[in-house]
Amino acid sequence: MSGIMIILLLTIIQFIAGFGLINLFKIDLKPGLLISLAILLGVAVFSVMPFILQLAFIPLTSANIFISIIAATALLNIKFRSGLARLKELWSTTRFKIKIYEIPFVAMIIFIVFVSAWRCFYFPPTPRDLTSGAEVIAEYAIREKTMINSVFSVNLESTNNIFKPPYITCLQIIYKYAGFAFGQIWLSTIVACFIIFLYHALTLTIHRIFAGLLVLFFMAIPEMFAYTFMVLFDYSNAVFFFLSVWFLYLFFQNQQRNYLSFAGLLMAIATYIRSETLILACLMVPAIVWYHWKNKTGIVKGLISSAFFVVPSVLAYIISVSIYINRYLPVQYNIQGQVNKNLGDLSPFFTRFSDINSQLIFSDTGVGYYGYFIYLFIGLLLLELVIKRRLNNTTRNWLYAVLVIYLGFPLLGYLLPLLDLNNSTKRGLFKIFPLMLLYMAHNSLLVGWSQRIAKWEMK
Amino acid sequence: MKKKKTARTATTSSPQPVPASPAAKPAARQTAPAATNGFKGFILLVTSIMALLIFFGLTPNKFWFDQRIMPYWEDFKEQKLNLDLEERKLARYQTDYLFAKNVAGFFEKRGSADKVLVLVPPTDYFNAHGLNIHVPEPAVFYYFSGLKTIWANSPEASKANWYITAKGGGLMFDTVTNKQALLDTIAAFNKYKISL
Repeated sequence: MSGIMIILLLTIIQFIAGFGLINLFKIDLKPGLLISLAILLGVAVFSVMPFILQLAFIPLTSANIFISIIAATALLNIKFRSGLARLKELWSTTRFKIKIYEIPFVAMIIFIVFVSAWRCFYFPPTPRDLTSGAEVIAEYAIREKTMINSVFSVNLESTNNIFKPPYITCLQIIYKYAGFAFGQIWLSTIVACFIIFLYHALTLTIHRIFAGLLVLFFMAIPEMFAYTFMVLFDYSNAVFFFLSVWFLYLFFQNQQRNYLSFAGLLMAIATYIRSETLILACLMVPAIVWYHWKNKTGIVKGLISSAFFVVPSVLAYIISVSIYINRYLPVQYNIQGQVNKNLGDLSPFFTRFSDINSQLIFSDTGVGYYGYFIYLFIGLLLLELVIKRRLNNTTRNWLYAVLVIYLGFPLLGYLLPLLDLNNSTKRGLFKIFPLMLLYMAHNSLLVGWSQRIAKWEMK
Repeated sequence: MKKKKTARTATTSSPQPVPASPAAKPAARQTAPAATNGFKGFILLVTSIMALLIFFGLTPNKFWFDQRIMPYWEDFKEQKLNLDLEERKLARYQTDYLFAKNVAGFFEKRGSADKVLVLVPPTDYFNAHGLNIHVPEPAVFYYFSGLKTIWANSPEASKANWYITAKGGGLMFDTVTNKQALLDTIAAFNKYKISL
């Protein structure tokens, strides 16, 4: 079977698995959002299955893995009757229509995604974090049918990359078994679907020309683009963190608790990918409590909603770190030893905050890393503040999420000194960009201009 | 009138960004997609192209496109003709991979690749001896070649049963027959900083 057919088949299975999950949570979305989200969720479901087998000490043979994936897909579609009805409705209402002025942006985005996907397919995993961690474990898991394999008998004093949650390892195992010697191509699935999701999310509030331009700005963040074909944890982490916040804010709009639970699940996936996301999830709690307080639904309800949002992440952390890394891996890893011993001294927080601003954001190096994206965000924010002199609830919410990352990373650097500036923080900041993008999509000036263009267009 | 209503579904009805619903509309409520006047569509198309040109006219974007996207596209045209896995690995890992494979090859020929633990020097040691070799860390070495290696600064270094040194501008492979010689080699390697 050719590579393209295999990718297609895997993507279809991912869609079915993800769609089942969306259906279980009764999430109602427009087709462009739903299809891309379903595939993204399917990738997450894939990433969990070899891990579950490993926890149960079931050998990671190709048969076991693919049977478990099929079983999980079937289980997630247990409400297949309602799912099928929704699919039929979706099919009957879906009109894939592209407007002529979307073509330049869409063509450019497809070209850039293609270039990235090819590079992702062609080259073997590159970052040292991967070749001394998830990738080498995946490679030997294929040979030895377990993730707890001979890699752990090697001299590992120069790396802690083997002590990362097994998200990448699992996906690498699956894709290597599927016939891709270097695995990796799952990242292109994530990138393509995320771009589609973002584009459709932006078109909910702004004109398609603005949406195309903003998505292009997002794709052209040089450092982030590099990680669309170099596999590491941060791109996927940014995707699921963003999705979680997006659904949390949908809950703020529609007050349906299933959306809140779904946001919690997405945050759990983000935590499974990068364990320190748990702290960022906790930093979102004030927004939830504030929402309930402001709507006079009570602090208690706010705390219950916060639990819905955070508890899945805590569970993901306990299973992937406390249980798996501490109890299953043959080599000891002192996680508590990674935490700052002198928490009374706040100076590392301010030093890191200052370094992030002076080195990663407001510098020539920063422009090299992130292009003009942050400046575009600041420019639009200032314009909105100066011209409109007020921010509405939705923009404030997105700005809060931006603030969570902006202050969250100095906090993480203060709590976990090993989280360095030039690698972990630089890549961790990827999470801020989709949030900034959604702020821009709700910027009242852009929304106003969008409405004027749309009105003129239809006259 | 109907067209006007439909147009508003693309955005919101107030200049304030009241979020549009991301939920799918029930089939009964579906309206025909908003149609754009052909001439206005053309004007917007020209606007899109202009926006794209301005976007790629900005220095960081232009630099990114010229230095990344276009060279990658040129690479693709060549790469699609050469899908050999080993060449792809070599293209990416370069001499690190070659070095690991060559060292492993030495032991594979002797049929002992899966039995040895090889003490490898830091990169700085090779550089100081005139060899331009970057030594991958043991986990990466194992990934490249399946050979278990160990750094000199490891407490387990004395368990190595082979070691590699530089001699006469080349590599010297020695089996450990004399424990003292191994300890001396460890001490010599430890004078150099390990770089990853």
